[in-house]
Amino acid sequence: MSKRTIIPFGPQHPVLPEPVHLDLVLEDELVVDAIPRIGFVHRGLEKLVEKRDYTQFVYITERICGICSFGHSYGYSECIEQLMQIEVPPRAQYLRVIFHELSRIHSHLLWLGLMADAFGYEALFMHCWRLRETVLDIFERITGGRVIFSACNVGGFKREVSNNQLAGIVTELEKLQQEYKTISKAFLEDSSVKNRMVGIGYISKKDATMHSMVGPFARASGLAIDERLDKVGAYGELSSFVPVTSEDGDCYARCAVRIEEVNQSIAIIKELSGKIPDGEIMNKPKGKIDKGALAMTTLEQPRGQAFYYAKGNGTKFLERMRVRTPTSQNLSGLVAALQGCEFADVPVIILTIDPCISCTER
Amino acid sequence: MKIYHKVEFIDFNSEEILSIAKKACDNNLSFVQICASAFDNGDCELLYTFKENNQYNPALIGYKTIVEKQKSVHSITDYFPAAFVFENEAHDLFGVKFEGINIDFKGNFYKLPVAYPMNPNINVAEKFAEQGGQDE
Amino acid sequence: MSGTKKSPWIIHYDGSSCNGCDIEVLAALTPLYDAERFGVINTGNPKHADIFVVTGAINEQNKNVVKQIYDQMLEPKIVVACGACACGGGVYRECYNVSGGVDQVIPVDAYVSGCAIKPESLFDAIVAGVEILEQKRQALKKSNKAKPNISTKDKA
Repeated sequence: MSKRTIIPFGPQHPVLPEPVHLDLVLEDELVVDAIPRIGFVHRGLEKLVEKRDYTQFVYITERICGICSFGHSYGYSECIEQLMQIEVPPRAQYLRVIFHELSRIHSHLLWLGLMADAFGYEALFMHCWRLRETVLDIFERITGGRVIFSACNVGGFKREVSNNQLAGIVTELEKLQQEYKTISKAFLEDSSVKNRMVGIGYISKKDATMHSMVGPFARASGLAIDERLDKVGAYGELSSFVPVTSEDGDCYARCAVRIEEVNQSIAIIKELSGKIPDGEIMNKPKGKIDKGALAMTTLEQPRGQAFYYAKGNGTKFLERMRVRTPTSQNLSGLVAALQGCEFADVPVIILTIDPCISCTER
Repeated sequence: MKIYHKVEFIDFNSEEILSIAKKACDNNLSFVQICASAFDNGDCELLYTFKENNQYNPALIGYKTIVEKQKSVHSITDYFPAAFVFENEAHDLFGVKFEGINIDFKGNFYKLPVAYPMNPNINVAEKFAEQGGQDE
Repeated sequence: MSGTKKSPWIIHYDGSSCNGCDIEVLAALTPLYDAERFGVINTGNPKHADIFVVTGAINEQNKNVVKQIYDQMLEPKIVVACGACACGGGVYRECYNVSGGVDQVIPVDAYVSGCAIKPESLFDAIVAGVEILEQKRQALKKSNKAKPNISTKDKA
């Protein structure tokens, strides 16, 4: 056996937009073990429920993470609605799903850009981020914010979006899809890109189940899990929903799954904005939360399943609020994917789980 | 339109955690999370969540237990390796002690200015005694 | 050295932020806003950089990292605090693991408002910052004409 070396990776690394640290145990060039360490951006948001009441806390949940911002406010609101038994008007449910899927498109395009940057394809990175601006423009036009836009609140949706505006969004997305085709071709067919991804960081279906992996990371290993299948909210109104999966389990498969999910999101937005019902968009919550009331809910974020739990204590403040984000669930799978890879492939493998550290640490 | 998830809450004794984890593993439930919350007397409540894997209306199942502050709980990482994140987190933020975690950070998972910030009711002296023991 | 005014290089550090400002700083460099047309280049090396862009609040862990990066940068240099958190803690001000804005640790020359910031406002800050940079350069020139500018780091 050759000598083992431990190489610290991060917390500041050019490929990582956020601080995460890994101790990589190497035998020559092969990684035999990896120990993740987080905690550099921990803020302690869950404790803030003692100082903000349940409607104010929506703005805190939005700021758990700037990329999945809308998703967090959506999941939190859903959880509080379950706690207080509020019925959200159907139009608000539709708008929430449309905006959530828009967020997914922007998050996946952002990830594709970072991925291109990781294997040194600067031009592709720029193109992905240029396309992403289409979605941010839609957000800015309708809500006034680009990444954090406070559109969702407990009880419904805060901004009325007219049917004309929705039709406009669909037209813009169709235009985006045309350009997106060229970009996805570069990811899926370019031989130099393939060389960096095919067969790298393999995870079998069995391992994916064992490590409780979620999101595109799990779907690329053949697990057909997707919270959208639960048909909660307007997801239940879709004519059909089949999660995008792949059996290959390597970095290429994860990339391919995300690329296809963008097309899927565009299709969902098209379908829902075609049949959105008219009516109210807000059912304002009233009163206090019962003591001892409990609620749990899950939501499919761009990175995978997110979990929300809330407990009431008889006042307007929550006793406990819990957010479990997809990346913390995938850390165990990441360690498994890193074992046995070459040192030079580590950045690409870390990126393929789409790590979101500020989500994970809250 | 279905608005909420189906949820169930079940109370159990913290010593039975391994049998519950084994049952969940055998029944093909997927592991979702572990959540700790603190009581005024420094005890903690642990909530283990699992999700059913059927395609039609799967339920979220929450197993609740109370852990007194001197006692420790057995880790479930033998059955669900992904739980190490949450067990280390519950230790660092709430001071819940776990036995047999597959990757045990011994209190260094989060880097914090104060010990157990989410559970202010643990005696300060206890905190320091335990911290001194951990740093090695 | 007058080229600095035409091409200020930035170094970006993410404190404990929510990513919102980070991706906006990156977005400012990508094609729609394209800060590179003003000669702004994002570098990873503190010794190359003129402008230190900090996003996110300061906590006990990253205090020293921010200080180190600042000390490593050569004079003249300016600091831009991006977003509500970097300016004063923002929504996280009352969290147990957040100590406040960047100005608790290093002197800040420009504050960018917003949560999250907009790329346009970052541009404004950089333009304002470049003026301050120029003033600092002039002052530096007057004060130590003979001394070569090697390091500003305190030996103690």
